[in-house]
Amino acid sequence: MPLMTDSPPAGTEKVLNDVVSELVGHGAVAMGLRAQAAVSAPMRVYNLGADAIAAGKGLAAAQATGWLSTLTSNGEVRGTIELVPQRPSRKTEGSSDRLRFGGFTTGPLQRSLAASIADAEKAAGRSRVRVAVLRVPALYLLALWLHGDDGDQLIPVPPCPQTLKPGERYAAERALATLVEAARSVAKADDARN
Amino acid sequence: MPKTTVKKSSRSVARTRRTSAKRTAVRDVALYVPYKRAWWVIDIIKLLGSARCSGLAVEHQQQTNWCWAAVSNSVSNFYDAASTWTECSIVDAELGQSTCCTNGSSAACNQSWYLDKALTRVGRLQSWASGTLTFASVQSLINNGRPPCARQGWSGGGGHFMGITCYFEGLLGKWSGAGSTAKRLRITDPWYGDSVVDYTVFVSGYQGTGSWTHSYHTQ
Repeated sequence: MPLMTDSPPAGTEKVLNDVVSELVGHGAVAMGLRAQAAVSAPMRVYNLGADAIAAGKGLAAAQATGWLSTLTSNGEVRGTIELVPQRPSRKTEGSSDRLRFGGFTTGPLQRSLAASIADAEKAAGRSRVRVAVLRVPALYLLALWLHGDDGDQLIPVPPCPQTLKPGERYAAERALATLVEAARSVAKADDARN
Repeated sequence: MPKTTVKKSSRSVARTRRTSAKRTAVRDVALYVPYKRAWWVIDIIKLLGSARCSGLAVEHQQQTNWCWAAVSNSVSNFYDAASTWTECSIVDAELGQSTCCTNGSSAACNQSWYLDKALTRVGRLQSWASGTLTFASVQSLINNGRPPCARQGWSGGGGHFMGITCYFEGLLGKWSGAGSTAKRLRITDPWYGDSVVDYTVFVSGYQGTGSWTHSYHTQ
């Protein structure tokens, strides 16, 4: 079992359990009688801005934004649960790393992500590889971010920008270099466009 | 590898306990925690209580920059099932092209654009403005069968359009740390898919670094 991820903050499993209970118990995820639901261990999610790519800052500029788990039932991917940091408040001051429900998303991208994780796990062999999810939302890129003996690598999840091939393993610098031109053009666009 | 045990609880689905969580800084992501219980198929609308949905379902965008076309076409279909608009025909019309239905991925066709202009093109824009909508405004619009659309601006530049199709309060987030008054939205997104999100996350933090920058009233 070579794919590894950081340990989430204390209490995450309870939050995840409660979220699943609510999603399933209240019907947001419809399941048949005796269907068995399961969630993957949370993976850290990072976001990278177009400005950072345009400036060639690389993965060092990626910002940790939350944790993501895949919800399955009877082996079928139902979606992903995202947990985000609890907003600091009087009650939680000093413990802002606690997580809360951020969103539950269904669709082809989530199924592709789960398939990409399974593929990466098979491909990893015996080497220990640390894995996270990288999003570059401005360029419609979702990728697995692997860190192992070979340094940082990205595997784009389909569908992905045309400059990248989905499922292919890229050195992170090389993958991000293919996005510089698109990132610059996003940076130039005004703020009412997509 | 940390072990996970599963126990049945009278109230919750299951409780998990990691027995060696502090011994290691990393975890095996293949570890799946099973939730053993017989589930009933339950109607979300009935059980979410105050939930209400408009029926707007935004289709998947056919090209990476066509969220504006996917949203406007879906809004057009929502109000008029006989609408003859398609994503690519909207793109052709808005960008002054003629080949986007056969070569949509070309540089001339796969362009970012404005949702207000595309909605105007299909005759479905009532008004638009920068800024967010209050939860009460979203409720009112959906109750009146006029689902709003939104633009999320990403930290570092760029943005994305989507529809807001349902609202609900209090149930899903009850024990998730957001308190019993949590407000949720169902977002119908042409790229990320459909999602149930916390209202506050949709205002700031959608897909990690999005901020709700513009709102669009449809008709």
